[in-house]
This record gives sequence, C-alpha cells and structure tokens, in this order.
Amino acid sequence: MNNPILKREMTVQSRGLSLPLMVAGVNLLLFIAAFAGVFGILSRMQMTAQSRYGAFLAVYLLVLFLEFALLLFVTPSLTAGSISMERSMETLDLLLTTPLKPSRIIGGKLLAAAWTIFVLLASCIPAMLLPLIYGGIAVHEILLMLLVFLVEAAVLLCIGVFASSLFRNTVRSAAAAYGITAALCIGLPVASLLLSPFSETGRNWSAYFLVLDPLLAPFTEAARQTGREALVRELFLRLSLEPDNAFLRFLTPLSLACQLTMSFVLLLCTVMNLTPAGSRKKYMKLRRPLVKSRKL
Amino acid sequence: MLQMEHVKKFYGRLCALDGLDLSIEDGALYGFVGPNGAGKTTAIKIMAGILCPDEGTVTIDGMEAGADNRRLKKRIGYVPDSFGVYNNLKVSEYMEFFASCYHMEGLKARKRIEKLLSYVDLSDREDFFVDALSRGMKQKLSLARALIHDPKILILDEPTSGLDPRTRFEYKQIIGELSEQGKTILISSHILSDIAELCTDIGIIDQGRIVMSGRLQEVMKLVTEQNPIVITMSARITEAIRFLKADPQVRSLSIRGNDIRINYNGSQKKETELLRRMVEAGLPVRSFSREKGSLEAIFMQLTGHGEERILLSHEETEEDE
Repeated sequence: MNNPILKREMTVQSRGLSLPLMVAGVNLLLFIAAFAGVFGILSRMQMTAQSRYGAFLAVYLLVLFLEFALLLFVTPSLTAGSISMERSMETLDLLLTTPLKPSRIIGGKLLAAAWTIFVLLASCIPAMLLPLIYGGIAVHEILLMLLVFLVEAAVLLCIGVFASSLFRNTVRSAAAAYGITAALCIGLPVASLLLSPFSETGRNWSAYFLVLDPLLAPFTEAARQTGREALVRELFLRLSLEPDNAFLRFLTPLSLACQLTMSFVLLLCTVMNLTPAGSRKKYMKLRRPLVKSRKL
Repeated sequence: MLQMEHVKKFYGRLCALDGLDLSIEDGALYGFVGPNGAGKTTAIKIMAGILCPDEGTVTIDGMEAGADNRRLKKRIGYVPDSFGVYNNLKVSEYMEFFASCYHMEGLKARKRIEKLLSYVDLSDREDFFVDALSRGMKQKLSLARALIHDPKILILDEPTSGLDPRTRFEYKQIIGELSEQGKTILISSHILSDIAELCTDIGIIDQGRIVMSGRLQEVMKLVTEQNPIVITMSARITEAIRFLKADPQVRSLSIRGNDIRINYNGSQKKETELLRRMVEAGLPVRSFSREKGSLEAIFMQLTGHGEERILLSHEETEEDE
C-alpha cells in the first residue's frame, strides 16, 4: 500500500456501492444459470431414469462461459476511465507535478482495478465448484481456470488503461477499450478466416495471431478440462492451419505469455503517453554532450 | 531563479510559444499577463514540468528542467486554473494524498496539513467532502495542496478568477504573506488590478512572446512617460494650439473640449519649461499634467495587435488637421 494512487483508489472504492453490486449481480447470474442447468439435468433424470454425467460438465462450461463473458464486459470498463477521468478533472497535471512517476500512477490504477477483479473472481468460486458435487472436474483444474481468468483480466485491464491514456473523454476511452477487446476477440479470427483462401491449405500463418485472442486460452483450457481438445484442432483447421501437437499442447501458456507481452507493451505505451512530450528528446539532448566530452 | 530561454512549443502546426524569454528573480512576485491564447498556460505548464519545450531551455536555480526533473518538482508548487480537486475525497484525505505523493507520511504530514488548513482557514472543514466546498474554499484548498511540500517557487494560474470580493481579498493577503516569507511567486491573471496591487514584477506575453517585462514600477514609469500631456485651458484654446504647434518637441496634438492632449518628446525639465513659457505668454492654463499610466492601457497597447495603436494614431492625425 505504498502507492498513494492505490491508497486513494481503495479509499474511494470502499465508499462506493459499485463493487458489492457488481459481485452480487455477477453471482446472481451465475447461480441462476448453474441452478437452472442442474435442475434441468435432475428433472430429465427423473423422467428418463438415466443420468448423463457429461451434462454436468456442460453446466460447468456454461458457468465458465457466462463468467468469462461478464469478465469481458466488466473488466475494460474498470480501467477505461482511469487516466481520462484524471485528465478531464485536470488532476493528472497535478499528479505530474509531484515526484510520482507515470509508471507508479498507472501501477496504482491497475492494482486497484485488479483488486476489484480478484474479489469478483474469488466470489465466483462457489458457482464454479458446483460440478464437484457430481465429479468430472478436479479442484486444481478449477483453480487453473481461475488463474487463466485472472491473467486474461489483467490483459483486459491493461487494454483499458492504454485506451484511457489516449483520450480525455471517458466515453471515448471506454469505446476504444471495448473496440480493442473486440478486435482481439473477434477481429483476429475473422481476419484469419478471410486470409485463409489466399494461403496454402494448412499454412495460413495468420492463424497463429490467435494466440493474442483473449478468448483462446480459456477456450483451450476448458476444452482440455472437459476432454474436448479436438475442438481446438478443429478451430485451427477451419482457419486453414494444420497445427502441430506441441503447439496445441502448450497453447494455453503460450497464449497467456503472448498476451502478457502485449500488455507489457501497451503499458509501456501508456507510460509514454503520460510522460511529458519531448522529455525523452530532452534527455537525449542532455546525454549527447556527455558522450562528446568523453571522446575529447 | 527561474529562467526560460528561447522556448518554443508547438501543438501540431500551431506555435504556442515562439521563442519565449523569461527571467524571474528569487523572491519576486511576478505577474504574468496576456490575452487568451497568448501562451500563458503553456508557459506555466512548461515551468511546472507538465510539458516539455520543443526548443529552448528552462532552468530553475541553475538546474535544467528535462527528463529527470524530480528534484525540481520538489521546488515547485502549482495551482492550475481549474481547482484540480478530487470531489470524492474528504479535505483531510485530499491533503494526505498529496502529502504521500511527496513522500510525507505520518505525524510530519499530519502536522503540516493542520498548519496549512489553518493557514487557509479551512481547519473546520477538514472532515467535509471536497465536493461540499464552495468555489473559494476549493481554490484555497488547492493553494494549501500546492504548499504541502513547502516549495520555493509557487506557480498560480488564474488564482482569483471567479472568486467573490471577500475571498479574493483573503486570497491576495495569503499570496502577499507567502511572498514576504521569501517564496518566488508567479501569478497568471486577467485581473490586472490584482497584478498591479500584488506584483513586484510583470511580464506581458502575446503570441507566444514576451512583449514587455521588468519591475512593475519601472514599467509603469516608462508607460507614464510615453503618455500624452493633458493641458486644460480656461480660454484662448486656438492661441494655445498655435503656441504648442510651434514647439518642435510636440509630436502630435488633439483637442477634447478645453483639454489639449499633446505627445511630447522632451524631458521633465523641458516639460516644466514649456509650462513656464505658456504662462509667460499669457495663456490661461488651468492644469498641466501627464496622463497617468495604467496596466490596462499598457496591456491594451501591447496586445492589441496594432488595432488600438492604429486607433490612437488615427485619432491624432484626424484631430491634428
């Protein structure tokens, strides 16, 4: 808590109702979906006297899908206003006159939003644990999925912060954040699909860019956990890429690593956007005579 | 000492600062005036380290402001033209937040905050949300915030605009006291009477350049010397005009009722001589004085882009005839 920005954000957050409302809303939706699913399976069992354990996995998948969809919807908005709001209130200038570095300002904002996401995901654990009643999914797999969600949320938060640093207007930055997210989630597979007729069969390299798609890692992991790995291969085949087995085996960590790298680049760009324009140029100017005098 | 040399700043193609030169001595209370869009806020933001100049140098106490200006930031307190306050924080929390930005924590910060809030007369509002404060109080809070780290240089952008007369008076008193404490203060303001009342030095900026700067008293004196002499006659105005036209030091002349306004080139001694000669010539001179210079007049003349100046010469030539 040594970051003043984080401290301030937490103070403000603790006063508002947005986090409790968000947690309540998301959990309500998840539990409605999960209980409806389980209730449907049980009533069918009563009618047919047959139990299909695969149906419980479908409920698990439904919960995962809903949870991730809500995460995709909520997360960019948490940070989309972080910098633009400071700009519109003209408090960013004040922060920049203090010895706080832009990286600490962004760090504080990100950590505060990450805390919200962490609380939200932690609150969703009971809904995710529902399949454990009938088996088919292990606890460590659920925790692994939570980790995937956390990483994806971190990526989305970074996208939000980056978009926020581009505009003074919060609505515009939110639109940009959702635009970038949509471009990654939908734009990449669509672009790859459109490019597939122009490449040799099984060699559409543009499909590799799908590793940057925030949907890919949760999809791959969910497919692996429920024994549907073939779906992932099928996806790449439809995009006219014949993936090798090693690529498929490490697709989840590879995708997460690529997205984290992209997030890091976005954060660097955000820091540059907050750094007074020309200061790097100035720094170079200051360094130049130093090098010359050494030569002399 | 704060110095800006040949500072240029562009926003795309727009040149906001066009080789700005500015020098502010330690302990000065510097009035920075200029019309809207003259480049005041850009210059102020560059001084405060929020923007970097495209060309030129900014030095504060001999240190060049640049990439690593954290040491300089501790020397500068900045109050923007907007309040720059977080409405969802309490007054004390707002101050604590900025104290922690300057690495001030615990008892030291607490004591400093209490001192500053009492200094700006906001001690009783410590637990109020910033949102609940009046405009004047917000402005005072912004000043207290800028003083949290006890900066040597204080930069105030339009600090008294929109304040009621009482708050404005109190605010000016605080600024005066801070100046007496030895702080270097730069005030940008449109309220020229405030500048004339408070400041020791002045700089007038127009189209990104300083068009006049110096000690306020000297500037006023210089302007007064350039002002016309107003001679009020009891009678015999035509004879007086003929007399004045014969004087080679009289550059131009205009008449308004019984007043004759002359632009006179001579020294104070020659002015006295002129008055003596007029009285000796039997002309009934009721009063003879140089028109007093005002900051408004200087401002209008220097920033009018020729319009006002044309008007003056036009008036002179017309009435000369």
